[in-house]
Amino acid sequence: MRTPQRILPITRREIRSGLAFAEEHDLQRLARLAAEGWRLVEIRGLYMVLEKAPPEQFVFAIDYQATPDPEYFEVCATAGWTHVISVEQHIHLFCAVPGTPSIFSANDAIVKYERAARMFARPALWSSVVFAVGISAVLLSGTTWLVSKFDDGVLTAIDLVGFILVILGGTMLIFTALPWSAYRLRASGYALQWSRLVYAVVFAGCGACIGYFVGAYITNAGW
Amino acid sequence: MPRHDSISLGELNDSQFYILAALVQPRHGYAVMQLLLEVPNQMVHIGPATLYTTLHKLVDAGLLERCASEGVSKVYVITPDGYSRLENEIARKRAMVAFAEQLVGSMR
Repeated sequence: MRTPQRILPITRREIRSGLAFAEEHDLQRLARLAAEGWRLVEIRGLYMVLEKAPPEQFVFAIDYQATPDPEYFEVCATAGWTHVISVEQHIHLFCAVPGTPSIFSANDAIVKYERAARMFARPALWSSVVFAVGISAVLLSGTTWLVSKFDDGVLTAIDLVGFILVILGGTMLIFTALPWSAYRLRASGYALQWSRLVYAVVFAGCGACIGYFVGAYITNAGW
Repeated sequence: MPRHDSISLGELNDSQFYILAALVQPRHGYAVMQLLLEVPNQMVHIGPATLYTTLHKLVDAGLLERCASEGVSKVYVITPDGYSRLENEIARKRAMVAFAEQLVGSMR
């Protein structure tokens, strides 16, 4: 007996550019993909997962609201904006047919960036604290003041904990402080067209620093 | 304090003004949206995302209150405070228009 063949949906993945840095770019890309017959079904980490669907003309919009109630989506639907997907209950993606009046009032579109920046402010602060504590531990473990007080085992432990905190805090900073600063810039009216490049360089730089520290620590070549 | 939060300063922005006016009688959030979409000659556009945040801000400022909720939809209505703010704002806008009209009229 032949088993019935399961028909899997045809999917494709696209790397997100990071909404804080390239919102316009990603929204235009979604519109282009929708016209080519690809429908967004999931945002997973740094990826967007799209599924084959009939081609449709859509425009997309992003809004930031911390855990909105269902009324939010109802009001948006009344104005012609269909909810597509939400990321972590904070970032909400909508689509509408071209020509639908904007999801924001005139002069009000940048206020959403203040809300977005506020969402990242606290995590960015905590990452900075972790990072600062780590850096201090690493630096202090080499000072004569600490060396005179503790034996080698304790110093190595302080050094190791500091190192772990630096890596952890540094990584967290990339995903909190960078978006926070980008949203702050947007909220004060910058278009962030070219600064995307600046952010890419900063991102790569931070990654390289962390890589260098890990490498230096593992090979014990000193800082 | 966010820069754009002008409610506490006594002056209502356009979105807040239209939404307060729409709620002199109780309405659902989506009914306010429908009403605003029908504003004649498209002189105003209030987006749904802005409407939602403005409703919440006006409730927090005590100018609106939620008087009922049926499932998803909440019913909003203006408070006495909101009413007096709205009346002040109407008077202020009328004075602005009268001033400008007088000057424009004298140029003709």
